[in-house]
Amino acid sequence: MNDTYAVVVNDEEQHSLWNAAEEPPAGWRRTGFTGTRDECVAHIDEVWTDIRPLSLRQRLAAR
Amino acid sequence: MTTQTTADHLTPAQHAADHLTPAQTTADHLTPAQHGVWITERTRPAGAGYHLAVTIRFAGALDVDRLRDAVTAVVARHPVLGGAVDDDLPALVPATDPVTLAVRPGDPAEVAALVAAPFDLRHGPLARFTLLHTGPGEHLLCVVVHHLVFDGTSKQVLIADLAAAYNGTALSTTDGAPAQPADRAHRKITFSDVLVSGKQGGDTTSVLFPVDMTPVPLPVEMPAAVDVLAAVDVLAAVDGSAAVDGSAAAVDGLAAVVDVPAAAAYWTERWREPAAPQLPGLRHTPPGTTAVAVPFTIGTAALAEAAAAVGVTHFEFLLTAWHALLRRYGNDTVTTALELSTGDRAAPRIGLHVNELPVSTAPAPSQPFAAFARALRVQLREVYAHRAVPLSHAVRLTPRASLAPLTVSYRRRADPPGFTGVDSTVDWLVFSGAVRGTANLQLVEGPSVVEGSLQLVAGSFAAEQVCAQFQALLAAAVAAPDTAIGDLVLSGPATGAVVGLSGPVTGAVVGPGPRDTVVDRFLAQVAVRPDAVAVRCGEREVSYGQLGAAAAGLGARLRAQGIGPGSLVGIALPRAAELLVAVLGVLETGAAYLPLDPSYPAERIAFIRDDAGAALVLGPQDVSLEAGATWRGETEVDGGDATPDEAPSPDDVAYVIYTSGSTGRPKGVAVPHGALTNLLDSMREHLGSGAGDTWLGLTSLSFDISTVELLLPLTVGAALVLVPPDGHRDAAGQLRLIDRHGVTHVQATPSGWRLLLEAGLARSSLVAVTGGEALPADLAAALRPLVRRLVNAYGPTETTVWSALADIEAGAQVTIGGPVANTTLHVLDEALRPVPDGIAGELWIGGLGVAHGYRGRSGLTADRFRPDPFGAPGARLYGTGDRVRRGPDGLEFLGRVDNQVKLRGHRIEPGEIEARLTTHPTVTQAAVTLADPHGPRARLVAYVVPAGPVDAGGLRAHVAEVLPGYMVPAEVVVLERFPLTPNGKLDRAALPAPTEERPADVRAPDAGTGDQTTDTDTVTAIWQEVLRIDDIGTDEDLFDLGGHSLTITQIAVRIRKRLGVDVPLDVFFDTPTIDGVVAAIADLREAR
Repeated sequence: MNDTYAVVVNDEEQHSLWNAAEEPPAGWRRTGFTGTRDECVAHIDEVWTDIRPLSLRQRLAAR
Repeated sequence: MTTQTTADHLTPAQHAADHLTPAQTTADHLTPAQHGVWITERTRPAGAGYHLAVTIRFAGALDVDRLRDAVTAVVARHPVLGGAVDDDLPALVPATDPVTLAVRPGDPAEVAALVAAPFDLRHGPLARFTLLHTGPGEHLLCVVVHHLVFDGTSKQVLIADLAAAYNGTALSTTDGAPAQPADRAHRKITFSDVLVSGKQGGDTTSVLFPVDMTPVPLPVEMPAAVDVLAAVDVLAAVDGSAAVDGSAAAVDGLAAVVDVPAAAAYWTERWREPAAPQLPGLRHTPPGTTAVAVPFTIGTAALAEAAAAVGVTHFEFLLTAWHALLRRYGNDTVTTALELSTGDRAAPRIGLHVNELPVSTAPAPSQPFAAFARALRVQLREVYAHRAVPLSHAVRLTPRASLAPLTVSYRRRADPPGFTGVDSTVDWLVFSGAVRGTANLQLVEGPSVVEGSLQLVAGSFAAEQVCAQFQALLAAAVAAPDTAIGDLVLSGPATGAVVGLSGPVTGAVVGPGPRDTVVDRFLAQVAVRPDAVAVRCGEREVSYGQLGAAAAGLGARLRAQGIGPGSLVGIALPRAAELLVAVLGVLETGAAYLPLDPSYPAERIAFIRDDAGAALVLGPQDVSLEAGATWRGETEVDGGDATPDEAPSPDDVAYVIYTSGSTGRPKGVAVPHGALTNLLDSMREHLGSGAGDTWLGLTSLSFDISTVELLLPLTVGAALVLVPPDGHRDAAGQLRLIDRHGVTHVQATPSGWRLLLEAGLARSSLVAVTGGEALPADLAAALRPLVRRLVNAYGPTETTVWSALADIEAGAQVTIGGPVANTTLHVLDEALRPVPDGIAGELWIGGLGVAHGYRGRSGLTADRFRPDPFGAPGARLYGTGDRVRRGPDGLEFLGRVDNQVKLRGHRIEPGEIEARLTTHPTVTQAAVTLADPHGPRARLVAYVVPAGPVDAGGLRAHVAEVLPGYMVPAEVVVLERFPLTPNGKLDRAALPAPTEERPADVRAPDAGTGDQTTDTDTVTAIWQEVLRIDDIGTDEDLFDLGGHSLTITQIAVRIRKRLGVDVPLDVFFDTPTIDGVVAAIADLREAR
């Protein structure tokens, strides 16, 4: 529970958590933020404001 | 005192006797190890678990008379074989009848029965020799000896001496041959002479265990450090590994020392009651189920090379592999009880010269195997130093057949000697047919192979898989000992990457996923069958054409209000045809719908409405079946320039449905069209559903399973029969609808199906879909014969309604089967590593069904939807929080990760207990919770909805029939009806707290009769004598006072002699106080 996580993000700007000690899976990159699970969750609440995939948001914005 | 001086002190006879146990060198009282076995037989009978057997197959001209004489000679040489146990002391005495060789015609299949036949410990003898004449020139000798006087090494001694006697050569040891067993009348004194001849006098330990039994010695009063072994190679004695260790120097200082305080200090620090082990395919088996042994072999050559390279013995390497495998099975801490030899390797003798001690490990999966092996070696050597002291003398232990559920024994053996003139084959690993714990791993290393035998209660776990994986892990460790434990492959190449008997648990991949949506599918049906009935609602019939027109009309009006892709529209309508107009109308605009079921609690509706921030909410006044009805939207929306012909795309959100977690506020799951269409396609395929079908619309729109009931029929051209808004609990009304309209498909929760059964569901051609909560086996059994198909569906809202489907067949186990199309199921441990088949883990789901996440809750979304290390780049997996395991018939649902409770170290799945409770005829529903989880009265409470008068004792007994004691609820609370969530699932949080009353059988201390006062005085006096403590309170715990199994026996004997009451030994473990024992005496008197 006190493990350190890294905040990771994919091409759809979907955010998630991954064990900071391990390389994230293909298609995911670190945002640079690391912390406890709770810290990462709180951070993501701040920076990821719309959970819809990027492509959908862009398509809707273009309407 | 050094090892050497002690050895000098002992006569050869003493040396040849049990070095561990001075008792047996001076008198015939049981040694501590024997006492442990005996007390277990008395309190927790182990069946044939203590029967040790060895067989010899003879081919050729066997001289039966010569063999008979050889048996007699062996028994004379090892008189313990002809012993019995006198309960009074308890002590080893000569048996009533001598040991003889029984000779008769017979069949090898009879061996099992010969081994299993009970021993009469009181009358003896403790050994049986049977020679079966199995055919022309063929004999089978079966030797069965009770563990009280026998162990693994004894087998070797016995066979060697038997051969020597048969061949006319010298027997194993050379001290004076004993006389014939003495007169039974004087047995207590004389038999000890027989047992170990010529050992009277000069014995420093003769003060112990005097024959008159006063005062009673405690082990702590033994000389603080009696070196009982000469400078023998202790490790070699334990595992025969002298060749590997090279010299005795390697084991300096490891001689067995009877140092109870040191052992107590060591074990108090380390001994923890082992938890029930996790093993693949673990199942509870009814008591009395037979035990089986699974044999396997391991080549010695490669093992020897790898062990030498790592710097450990063969045994240490093998034990490391076993612990590593158990760690892989999800056991964070692995405890095995090892049978350690305490005998003298230089002069082996038949007897019980083993002590069972535990070894516990908790390696990180990242630890290399070799490093783990070396750490285990260090720990083993610490344990060996205390091997002279039974664990029960060091820490408090209740009587048990084995220290830990998992036991391991290891022995090296030489090639057996031959019998002159006849071919002989020895089977060293004859299985007793009983197992003392969960599993016993027996390893006997011969010159070229290690013969293994994994013994277990039949069907209690997947033993063949375990043996195969043990061999696979060993092979991997032998090949590359520096591999991390977590990376050692357990079988073929697939297992490392993904769980599964045959690779990943992936649903059929049907391409990139549907590009069209439910809107396209519905409009296609409208075009094909405009006049067909789409919806029946009360007396109304709505055709596809009518429904399509009404939905299009609503859609147009919504668009005019600015509703379109990206919008969210609340639907607050009762279950009627208008509800479908609203759903389809909203979807046609490209917007998502938000169910706001008016029958749900107002507070919840208000919360969801505010939380979701819907653009507008459709109420009954806003929706009509008339295509041209007036729009009276309650919310004014700016804009209104939505393109009329814009249809939703697969990425657009189709609906947002709120779910309650076990904690926290409800959260809205946003599900895209692509996921919904994929699910409906998958259901259509699985169910073979088409235009001719009629579905029952039963479930609230707020529960996502409603999408299957409402939208599957309307996208395949089937008819939908709606249950009235207040009719979802009116099962009789539902049955009438089913009957009247020829309904073919019904989907309901198990609770809903139970209501239908109770309302009289008759044999039908229904396709029954059940889901939303676990399907109890009894309900499946009752329902299956009444329906054409029974489909158990499983899935969280977050992966779109259903992610797994199983067709349940009559008599088959209930599972959740396998994944729907384009879906992957993974069973993972906490580190997201796949767990082996049959092992419980959390279910993670990937694929097309994965939702966008929780609307407005990005942190929570990120936490529950994690990167998918097994899927396409950038894909996500949803962690369900459900515990499952992969079985031969599909995934088995075990319960919520959150619901799993821990009681006294045992991981307990309440669902297992609930499932058992509901098989009782007086119970219709059951829920089990852990009350006062962190308090002193932590206990399981069973809540039941009765079908008749409930007898709590009977229910508990019913559970105890198939589940272990720690899973039997302490209390039973009867409820008329369970509290349910709005979705009709059990609301655990709303279950009433159990009563806080103490059990009624608490006895007032002053309620005793005169007798009882006398009893208390007498019992107190006995405790004072035996424990040698003057001041003992009547509520003090025997074990806190230093008591143990030997003490208990002494107390029981004195109570029997002075009060004439035979107190069962369990009493001392169950109520280990003077008050408790006095109460038991009173009860026993009353019972007479």
